Amino acid sequence: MANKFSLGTGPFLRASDEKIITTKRMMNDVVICLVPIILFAWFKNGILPYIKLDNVSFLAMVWPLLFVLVGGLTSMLLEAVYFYCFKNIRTFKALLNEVYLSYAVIPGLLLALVLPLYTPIWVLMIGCLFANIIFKMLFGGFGYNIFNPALLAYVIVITAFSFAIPTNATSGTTFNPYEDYYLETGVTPLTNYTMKQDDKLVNIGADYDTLVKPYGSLANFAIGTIPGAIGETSAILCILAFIYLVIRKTISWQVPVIYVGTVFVITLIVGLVNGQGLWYPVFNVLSGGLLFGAVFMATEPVTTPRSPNGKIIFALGLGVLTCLFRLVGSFPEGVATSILFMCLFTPLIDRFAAKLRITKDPWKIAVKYAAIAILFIAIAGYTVFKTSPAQNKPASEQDRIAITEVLE
Amino acid sequence: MLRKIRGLHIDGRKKMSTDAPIQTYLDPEYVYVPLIAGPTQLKAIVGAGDKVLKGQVVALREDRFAHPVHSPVSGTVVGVKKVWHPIARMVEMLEIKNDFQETAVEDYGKPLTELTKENIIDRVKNCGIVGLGGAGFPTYVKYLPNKPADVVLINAAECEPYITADAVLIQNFADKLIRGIRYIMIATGAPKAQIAIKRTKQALIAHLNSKLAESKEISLLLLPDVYPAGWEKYIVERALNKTYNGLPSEVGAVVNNVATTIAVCDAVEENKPLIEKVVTVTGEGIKKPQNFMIKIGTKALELIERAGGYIDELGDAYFIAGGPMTGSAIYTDDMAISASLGSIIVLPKRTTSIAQACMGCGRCADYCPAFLTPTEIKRAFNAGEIDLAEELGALKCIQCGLCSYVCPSRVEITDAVVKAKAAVQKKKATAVKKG
Repeated sequence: MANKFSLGTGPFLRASDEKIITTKRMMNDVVICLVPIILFAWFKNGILPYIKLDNVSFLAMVWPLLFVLVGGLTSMLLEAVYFYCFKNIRTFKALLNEVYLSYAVIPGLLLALVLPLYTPIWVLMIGCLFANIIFKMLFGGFGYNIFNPALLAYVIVITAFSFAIPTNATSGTTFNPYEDYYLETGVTPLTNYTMKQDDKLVNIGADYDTLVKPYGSLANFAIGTIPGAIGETSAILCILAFIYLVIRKTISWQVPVIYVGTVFVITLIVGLVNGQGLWYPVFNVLSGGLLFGAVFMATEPVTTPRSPNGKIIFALGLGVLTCLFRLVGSFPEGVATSILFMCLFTPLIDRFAAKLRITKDPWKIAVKYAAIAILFIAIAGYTVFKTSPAQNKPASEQDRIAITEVLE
Repeated sequence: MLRKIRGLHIDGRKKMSTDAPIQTYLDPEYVYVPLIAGPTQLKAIVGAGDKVLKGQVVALREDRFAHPVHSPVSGTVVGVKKVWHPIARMVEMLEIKNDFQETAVEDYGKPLTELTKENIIDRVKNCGIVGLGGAGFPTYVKYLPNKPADVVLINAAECEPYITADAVLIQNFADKLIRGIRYIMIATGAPKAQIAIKRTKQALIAHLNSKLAESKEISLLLLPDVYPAGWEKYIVERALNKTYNGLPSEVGAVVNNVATTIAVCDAVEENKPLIEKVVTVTGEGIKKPQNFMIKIGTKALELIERAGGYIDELGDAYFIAGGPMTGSAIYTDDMAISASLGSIIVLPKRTTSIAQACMGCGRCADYCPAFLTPTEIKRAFNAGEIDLAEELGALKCIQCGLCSYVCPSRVEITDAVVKAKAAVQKKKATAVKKG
């Protein structure tokens, strides 16, 4: 007697069924990697001031931790409400499962970690609303969003609510109280960078004494005991997270390494042109959200290219644009904007790269890659040119006379 | 510059069916000769009531890859009947009732006296030898080019998990295999041959080495234990450091698998047509997994019975014709075994992961041995852009299943690409008809 069997599409073995790799595991890995970063943020922004200074309240001590947790919880709650209202999911257990499998907690945590300390909690919550509901669920939920929800929400709240986000130490809120003592200007290292000095067009001439010295040494940059957003200051923890995620095969090593490498090379050239030493590119790599962005944002799978060669093009573009925005643009940071900007091109890059992968003609391949390379070199070259001493020299008296003479 | 195919190690699970000796089952009551070969309909040249002998031609393939198909037993043709075929649909087959006399045609068993290229090609063609590795491509066609080949490559990778048919053939018929290689070398004019085998199969390598001690022109080519190491292109790439677009003959290679090579040996030495083969019956759903020597056209359920039947608590299960990566799920075990089928695997359904939206990690593109980007092909196909799917290389998909295997979100990505490929082929076919 014949037996009947299930029908299904092959292959009949799946790495996901054998628990070799699953989406759940990959997303859990990201959260696991955020735990030490959250704890360090708490230590640096809450516990350390509590130990060092007398006038820090208990609430101020736990505030950094609370802030991050509120971010994560708000995101989960908002998505739960969304699932309840629009997807007709009514039982608590089912809601919890949906929110878990939508990995709702991640945008909230990431957003909280990239905001400045003492950002009002309502700003964070509105940010979560933007991130989870508008930039993610309305686009179709997990896997369908076009931009990294946390990053886009960050840019939105930073610009829309700039009045509410304290930006300098004189207000006594942006930085840890204990950080005040070595901050005269009360700014993050990168802000020093774009403060226009004299009548220079672009501020690159700032030297070691203005960029690094106020914060101790570059070692402090690596450890993370410098002013900055709540969670993105510790380079070492970002690098450890990177190693963990690569070993677990959750992310591929290419994007962060090429991204950071490109920034290093371009700023090395900029530094050399301006007579600065090796500290300059190292400073650039360690400061701002570069490492945090490279490890957690630029590798976010949904909004970045899928093809291996597309990933490399994407990472190169990130490096080039970050340097352009940082050194030539008027905002101190370049990471968030460059990642969002490159995300726009993800579908284009993917199609371009996918076709290139199967191209047999070596000439065609060379020409297409060369075109990309020339574009990137041009942008990088522009950055170096705009930041070169010749461009930024204040017009001398003689020049002015010469110009006046010509005009007359 | 040659880009190396990456491949991926997949747990072999071959142990369960290699311990038992080959069980011979050559006397089924009925056998079924499918009236298709690949995409082509065959012409039956016997009808209901006709007496046939073992080895008698009963059907002909008449397109440019013409070859005869033989009766595996002696007996009476019952008629044409629709029976389940390993390609997962019902196909018209000649039903032949065995008279258990094994009366063979006259020239059955007559060895080839003069070993020349032409004679061997003739023999291989007239014995209806086709590739037993899965594709079922007529073997003699590979020997036809007049320009001598540089090398004969024997595919002994057996890279899909569970399958052990080639392994037991090497273990039991290594001498025949080596003689078969010699005949193929004569037929193709190749001065040397290599047996491509995974370097983890230590016992088989030792066995082959002991047999090959005196043959300088035949050597082993050790492959890494990855999937799809048994892909023709992969083996040619490892052997010659060259790749090709259409056929291995472009770079001077002829690739045959182990079972086919042994069938060639039988054809040359005994004039034995392709009527018997070794099939692995295995999987966690089978009580006593093992390999069978059977008549082609035997019903699968008879083998299952002889393998101890299904485990008691089978539940929801897949009945897979072919390997677990490339095979197809068949609705019933009442299926006739075709010449190119190497294994039957019964797997209890063990879907433990949940299917989620593609998150775009790009694993499928990382591991694709044809260097495709499956997510892009799927996107183009879903958008109805068949031309774009072709531009993205949908036709180059070898349907190895690796993209679905590695997908952490359990997306049916192989299925999507295969559908895109079929759509491109269909569009091209209609374009040809119109034009």
